[in-house]
Amino acid sequence: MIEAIRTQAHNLLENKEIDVVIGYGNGSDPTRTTPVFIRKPEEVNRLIFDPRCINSLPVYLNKRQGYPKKGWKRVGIIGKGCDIRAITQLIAENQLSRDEVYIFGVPCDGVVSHFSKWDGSLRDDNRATKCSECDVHIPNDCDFFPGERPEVDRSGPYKVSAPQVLNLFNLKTDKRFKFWEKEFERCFKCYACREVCPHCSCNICITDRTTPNWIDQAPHTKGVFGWHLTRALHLVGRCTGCGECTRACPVDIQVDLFNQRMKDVVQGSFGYKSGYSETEKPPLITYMTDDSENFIQ
Amino acid sequence: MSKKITRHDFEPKIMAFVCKWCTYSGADLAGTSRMDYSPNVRMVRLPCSGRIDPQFLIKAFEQGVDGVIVSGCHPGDCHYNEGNYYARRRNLAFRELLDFHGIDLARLEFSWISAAEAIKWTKVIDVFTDKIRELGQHREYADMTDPYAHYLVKEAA
Amino acid sequence: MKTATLNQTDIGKCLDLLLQSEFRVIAPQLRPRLESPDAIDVMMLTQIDSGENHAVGQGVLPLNGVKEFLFVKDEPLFAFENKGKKVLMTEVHHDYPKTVIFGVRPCDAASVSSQNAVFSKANAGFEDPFFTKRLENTTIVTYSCTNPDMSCFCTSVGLAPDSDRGSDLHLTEIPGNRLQVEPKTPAGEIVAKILEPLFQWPGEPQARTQAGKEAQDKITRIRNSHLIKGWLDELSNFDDELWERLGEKCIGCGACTFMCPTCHCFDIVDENRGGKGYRIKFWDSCQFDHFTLHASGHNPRDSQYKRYRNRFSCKFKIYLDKFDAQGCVGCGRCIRDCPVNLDITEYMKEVDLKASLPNALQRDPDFE
Repeated sequence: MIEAIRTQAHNLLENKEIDVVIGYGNGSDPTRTTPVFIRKPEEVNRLIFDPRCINSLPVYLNKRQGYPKKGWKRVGIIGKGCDIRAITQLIAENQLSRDEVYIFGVPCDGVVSHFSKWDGSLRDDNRATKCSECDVHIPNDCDFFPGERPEVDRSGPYKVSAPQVLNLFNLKTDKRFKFWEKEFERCFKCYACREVCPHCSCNICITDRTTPNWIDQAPHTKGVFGWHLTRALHLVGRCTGCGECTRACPVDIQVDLFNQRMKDVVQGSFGYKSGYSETEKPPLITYMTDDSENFIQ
Repeated sequence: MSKKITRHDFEPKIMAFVCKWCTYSGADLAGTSRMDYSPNVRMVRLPCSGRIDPQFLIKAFEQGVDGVIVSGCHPGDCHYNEGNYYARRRNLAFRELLDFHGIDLARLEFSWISAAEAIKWTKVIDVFTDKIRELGQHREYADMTDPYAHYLVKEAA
Repeated sequence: MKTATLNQTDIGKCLDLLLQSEFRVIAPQLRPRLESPDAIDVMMLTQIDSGENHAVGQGVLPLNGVKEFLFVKDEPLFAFENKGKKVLMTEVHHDYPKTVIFGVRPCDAASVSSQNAVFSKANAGFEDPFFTKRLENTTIVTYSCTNPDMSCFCTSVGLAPDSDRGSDLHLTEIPGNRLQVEPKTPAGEIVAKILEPLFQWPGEPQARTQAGKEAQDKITRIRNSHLIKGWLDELSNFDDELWERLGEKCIGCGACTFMCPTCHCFDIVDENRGGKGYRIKFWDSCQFDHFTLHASGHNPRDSQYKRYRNRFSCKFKIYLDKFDAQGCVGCGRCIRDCPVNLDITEYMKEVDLKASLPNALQRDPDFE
């Protein structure tokens, strides 16, 4: 499967149809993979794909990562289904245009949840939770797919959230607050969750703005709550559930729980699933006259 | 129509973020009609409820406010045609987010109040203020508002 | 300073004895597992109130290091208040409780002297009194490693799994489920005196040396580091092609700097609410894009690879030049925590390769 991708990448690079292929390569240890930027046709053999490939590569398409400064006109990118959803969402938000990317889709059975759990094979006990409810094992959109790409009906709703979200949701309000207070004690505002997110693309993040200072910079409880509330708020209707934020958090805070909860709210209240359509408008910039307002007096 | 004045131990701080075409005018009407209502509310006037960024609400809680009201024109009556529709969606999502974090939703109130509904304005404020007075100070945020209170040197008795 | 042995099963009792002697005790604990199939076992240094449920000696090393107990993640420097036309500044009251950090790995212990070099008057010329007072009141009980994992590389930076640098009281596992106990400083002696009821004599230096050697043999990540500073000192290497090639994938998340035991950058802000506020010091990172942003808008480190170049140079050159202290202790946290597997030892390998080439060949652009 990867051979077909390597061949196609080789051809496109040789014909200069794309400037670079962003893909996965072997990492510095046997259990890890790392993003690679292939510019020369002879280097395509570095591309690999297997269940260790957890990274979400569309983060490099994000303007914030300096992508336009690199002078790339058309970028090839290897995408698992969830990554391609992130690209589709970026296109829907006009952060990227479709002809700037050439997407190599890959069929994916799931990825390992953490590199320390990889021992050579992917099983139910080391597969990431996001993979068990995934409906894009075959990607929904790509320019190249190795082999036949069967049609899949994705019009139905997402499956309901992961158990950890429901468990938290079922707690009483004050217990939930205590849970988050305890979790956020560890947070020191490293912003890894922000940097790894393919959708966080503001040139200057609101947290870095000091005139006026909306979000406190210091990592006391108030500052940490302010940051996480803001991040979740700015991702409503946009998060495509890649789980990279939790993976990147160096102190193991499950920061994607509220994103997953908002995903359910957005689907339930607005009927929107992020990352499936390049033309459907994201929910918060559109409205329906009969939107629910049972909370309004 | 003056009410009996009662003294309370705790007077909550309430903030109201309102749109200027409807709710602010309604509050204005309540004032010119000399209607009595709880004086705990401080208002911030914005051109439209669609301008209300949930960031303002978070900031209000951080600054020690005990209850927040967000109010605008009725759907279909927005001066800018659609601002309140966007506000409705945004506030629905924001409420769920706050709830998931464990922040008591009783402290956040949304309403549609038109320029003629001065009576509704006074009722909403009175009921909300009483509710917040019952609930007391915003305990969770109160601890956070002054993050280093425990560092201050105790004054000698 | 006499050495002794201790039963490993008595560690809980040691912690209890220390708690009874009015120490604040910090020890590794397994964090309760989050209800998520994705969660991994996480062990962290936390303040404990009983000797049960400790994880001393387990796993590879705790998620956090001792940094957060000495160079805390946020603290107020002073409080201020508007009083008419004047501003009144008041002291804030910090606690400096007597503390024992029990079960520190040798890499983390070695990092303390690097942090001290930055914050003490002797080296830096200006003292951070919050840090130095905290350090004065802290005793570090180290626990040698027996199971380094594939990300550990302390032997490549002049340390070892059983190193006692920075240790006040050093423990090493020896056969028979026991520990060799070695007091190293007067502070360590004080703690040893409290734990004496649990000791047996004499110590077993040979078993201890053997244990240290066995652990060293398990380290697989080995790099030559002695040529790195020389290569970095050469100014023309600042523009070498390897920086962009290796650093391209860095996303600037900053996780490496926050978890690194020797990283010490901080920011200071004033926060106020209605005329009363605090000046606060908290952790910052050179990997943030606005770290070197000038008021004019110019940013000398405007790409991510330049920021990582700075980080690498800081660890292997600037620390040595400015503070005469060890920049990298080889704990491997940056490797484990990096979301894109940017590996500092890859940089070490490539720099060493370049530095080993004879000079003439290095300058020849056609040399393959």
